[in-house]
This record gives sequence, structure tokens and C-alpha cells, in this order.
Amino acid sequence: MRDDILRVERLSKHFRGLKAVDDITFSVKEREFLGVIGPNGAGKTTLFNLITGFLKPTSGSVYFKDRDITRLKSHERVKLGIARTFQVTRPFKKLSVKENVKIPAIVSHRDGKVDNVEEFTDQILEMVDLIKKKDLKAENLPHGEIRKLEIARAMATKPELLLLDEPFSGLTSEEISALQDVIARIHEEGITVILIEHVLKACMALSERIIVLNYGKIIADGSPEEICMDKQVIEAYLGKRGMEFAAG
Amino acid sequence: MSIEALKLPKRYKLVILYLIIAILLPFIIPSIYILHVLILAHLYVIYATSWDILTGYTGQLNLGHAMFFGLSAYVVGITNTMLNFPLTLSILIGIASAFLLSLVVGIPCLRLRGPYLAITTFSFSWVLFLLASSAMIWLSGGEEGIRGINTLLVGTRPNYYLSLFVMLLIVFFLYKIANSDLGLMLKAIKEDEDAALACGVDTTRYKLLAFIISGTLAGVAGAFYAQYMRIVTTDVVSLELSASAIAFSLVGGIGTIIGPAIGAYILTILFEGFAWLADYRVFVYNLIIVLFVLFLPGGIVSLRESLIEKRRRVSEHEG
Ligand SMILES: Nc1ncnc2c1ncn2[C@@H]1O[C@H](COP(=O)(O)OP(=O)(O)OP(=O)(O)O)[C@@H](O)[C@H]1O
Ligand SMILES: [Mg+2]
Repeated sequence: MRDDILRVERLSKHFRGLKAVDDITFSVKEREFLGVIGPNGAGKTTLFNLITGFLKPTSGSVYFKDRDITRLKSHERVKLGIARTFQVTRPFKKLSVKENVKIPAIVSHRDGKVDNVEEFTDQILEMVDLIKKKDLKAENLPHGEIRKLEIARAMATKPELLLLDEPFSGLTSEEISALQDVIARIHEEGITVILIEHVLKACMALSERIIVLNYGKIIADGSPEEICMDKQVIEAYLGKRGMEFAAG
Repeated sequence: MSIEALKLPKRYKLVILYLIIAILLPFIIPSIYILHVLILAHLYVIYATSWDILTGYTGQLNLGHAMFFGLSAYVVGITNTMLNFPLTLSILIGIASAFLLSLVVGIPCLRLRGPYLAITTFSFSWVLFLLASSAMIWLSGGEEGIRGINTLLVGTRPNYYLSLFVMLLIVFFLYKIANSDLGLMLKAIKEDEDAALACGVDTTRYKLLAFIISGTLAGVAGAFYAQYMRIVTTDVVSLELSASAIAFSLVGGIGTIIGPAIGAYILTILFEGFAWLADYRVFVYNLIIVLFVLFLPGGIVSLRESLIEKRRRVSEHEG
């Protein structure tokens, strides 16, 4: 039996009256690939912000490898091995592609996770196929490659748990399948992945297990096949699409 | 070796040319007055570049940089004239007080985001000005100032060389920082603090580090000023001096270290050349700030880049 790498216990986040995340409990096993889906405003990004420390919970706790990290700052969680990407991409626009990746690489080096910053940076850029563009300013990259850069930057922190917030949004179908391969390879390396995604085809293909959020609550938790058949999920989110996935 | 030297990039040649001129200048132009203006320019270069490492590089707005310069200058004056401390000790205490001030202001403010730092630096420098100009006249001497401070070196020429040396040392140090891993972290924080956090950067720590370096070096300039001028008045904590840090940097080019250095040189010489402007200095500084923000936000150094860019375009066309 694999151990839990992440455990979320009775986690809530209220924005004034709004319960964006409402008493959520779940856990993620080491090396698992967990999908998170749900309608707009369901609380998916807020959940990521709570796990990564960008928001403080109203109540509840987050455990990483059985350690309570609820009160740790974002950068301290990165050090422990939790990395994220942003739904709205946030590259360092004025810096080169290489410098964007070098920054987390330097931090990894100082934390003793990486020996050679230059080599490691190039290696990461190679992995996401950005090595040829390393000297370009990030603001000059097309959107699809900025998505790759986001992932490269997260990978340069040497994570054990990687949280991806809609990495496929705004991409063409070719770009999606290329990025899908990159993410699959990252998972094969032994990294636990949690993926928020509206592009269901990719999400279903990658995920071993999916949880569905609606109004801040988990309304379903199971294998992709189970999720597609779930009545509540179909009503709240999938609609006709669910039936199609179930059929095909 | 000589052939290698000829192949140096253009900017190194410019630096070498500048160094030769700066070193020979006292022999070429024996005017004490011009040397005096250049000494002030050197001190303002330190002052402007130290502002730039925090605000230009790290993106943390400091509206009251004069508080570091001024506090250090006053502390040198007070300890040296009233407590009769030896000058070198006074200078060390002056610089240390700027360092402490950066901790006092930086630790609470840099944890927060938003306008807190700008408001606090502005308020602190204003309070310091009020103390010096009215509430604590018994200590500061008010308009009259503190007089009779000792000097490290007697004479304009020795002070010229010492100020040149200290200035070059500090600019070189800041330039090195700006182009090191630390500089990269600072730039990342300026661009997007959340993204930097997501990269694992302890942003609070780096912001504080930049603030300490910035404040302490401004304190060095202030201490030098006190021992060179041998008098400290409320000018050293004035709004005008705080505004000048921004004006120097905007004219030269914010976030480049070398730009604010150039800006400080040009404006200091300009103001001395047009002495009648002096009474309108605050007005002129503000005008300069507005004009540069509107028409040349990258400052003078950005002209060079756009020139290179233009040439590149032309050669691409031809090629
Ligand atoms: N900082 C905030 N302040 C106030 N309300 C917020 C804040 N962040 C999110 N919300 C609200 O919380 C709810 C959940 O938002 P969240 O961004 O987590 O949804 P999501 O599931 O990621 O949606 P999407 O699929 O559109 O990205 C929304 O109603 C949103 O408006
Ligand atoms: Mg979202």
C-alpha cells in the first residue's frame, strides 16, 4: 500500500459569505495522478491556493507526508516539495526563458536538491522542449510555450507533488497532445500530480482518479470511468459530455 | 594583450575612458569649485544607485531615501561635535544608524504588500525633517545646522579622489549584485512576487536584504557628506533630496544601476551650472520626473538600447 503524500482535512475557505471551499477532506497517494474537475467557480483554484499557502484557510488543515503544513509560507512548502503552476500564466516577462527556469533552479541548488544549476536548467528546458528558445524574453513566447515555461519553472523546484491549474487552457489540439506527453513523462518520473482541467479528454486520459468539486464540496471521487457515469456529476458539470465519454 | 584590449566591448571602453578622465581631471581642470561639484556628484551617485537596487531592481517603492542619508549625516555631526567622538568612530556609528533604520522600517513593511513601504518611507523621512527643523532644534541646530565637524582629509583634491574611490567601489559592488543570482531574484520579485514565491524564493528575506544594502549605502554617502561639508543642515533630510533619488534614476534609467549613476552626475552638474534654479529645485525635480515618465520612461540608457535595436532592424533589412 502506498502512503499518502497529501492529506486535506476538513478544509474550508470563506470569502465573506461565500464558501469557496467548504469542509473538504481527501488524500492523495504517493505517485498518484489525481484529476480535479468541476464547473467554474467550484473552488478548484482556491483549493490549490490553500494547499500551496497562497491563501490561509478559514479552518481545517493540510498535511504533506504526515506533517502539518497549514501554517507554512508558500516558499517553505516549495522547499518541502510542493510546486504549482498558475491558471493565468505568470512568467517573469522581462527575463529570458532560461532565467525564468534558473530562478527556481538556484533555489533548489541552495536547498541541496541540485548540484549544477546550469546543467539542471538546461535539462529542464530540454524536457519541455524550450531549449532552443532559452535566450528569448519570456514575453515574446507564444501562449502555448508560456504554458510549458510555467511547468518548467515548477519542475525546476524539484517537486514531489506537482499541482497544475488548467495547463491546457488556450492551447490548440496539437499543443494539448504534446503537453499531455510532457505531463505523462513527469508522472512517470515518480512525481505525484494533481491536475485541474476543463479539457476533459486530456484529464480523463491522464488521471488515475478524479474528484469533482461543486460549490466548494466534493460531489464525487473515483476512477475516470466511475466519474463519467455518476448521476450527480452529469447533472452538475458533465451534462451530455459525460455520456459521450462514457460511451466512447 | 594589446590586441585583446582593442577588442573590448564598447561599454568597457567607455568605462575606461571615464576612469582616465576622472583620474586626470584635477590636473586638467584645477578649479576647486568644479571639483567640489564633482565630489557632490559622486556622493549623489552612491545615493541614487543605492535607491535603485531597492526600487529599480526589486520594485519596492522608497519615497523617503533621504532619511538614510540624513540620519547618517546627523549622527556623524552630533557624535563628532557634541560627544567628541573620533571622526572615524562617528562615521561608523552614522553608517550603522542607517543600517538600523533600514531594519526598523524594513522588517515590518516588507512583510506586507501594497503601499505600506511607500507610505512609511515617506512618513519617516518627513518626521525626520520635522524633528531636525523644529522639534529637536536643540540637537540638530535647525536651519543653522551642526557646524565644525572634523574631516578625514583636508582639501578638495584629496576629497575628490576619496569620493571617487568610494563611489566606484560602491557602484561596482551594486553592479555585481545586480548581475548575480541575487540580482536575478530581485528582478523576479519586482516582476511578480507570487510567481517568485512559487519558485521557492523567500521574497521577504530578499526584499529586506535589498533594503538593508540600499539604506546602509545611502548612509555611507551621508556620512561622507557630513565629514566633507563639515556642516549638516536640514537639507540632508529634505523632501527635495528624497525626490532627487527618483529624479536621478528616472533621468538615467531605473533598474540599471549605471543609469541612476549617469543621472546623478548630469543633474548635479546641471543644477550647479544653473545656480539660479536652486530655489526651484523641488519644482524642477517634479517636472523632470513627470516628463521622463511620459516621454522616456527608460531614461538615458534606454536611448542606447533603442539605437542598437534600430541598427539591428536596418541591418536585417539590408541583409
Ligand atoms: N480572492 C478572492 N476573493 C473573493 N472571492 C474569491 C477569491 N478567489 C476566489 N473567489 C471566489 O471563490 C469561488 C471559487 O473560485 P475558484 O477560483 O476557486 O474557482 P475555480 O473552480 O478555480 O473556477 P474556474 O474553473 O473558473 O477556474 C468563486 O466564486 C470566486 O469568485
Ligand atoms: Mg480556477
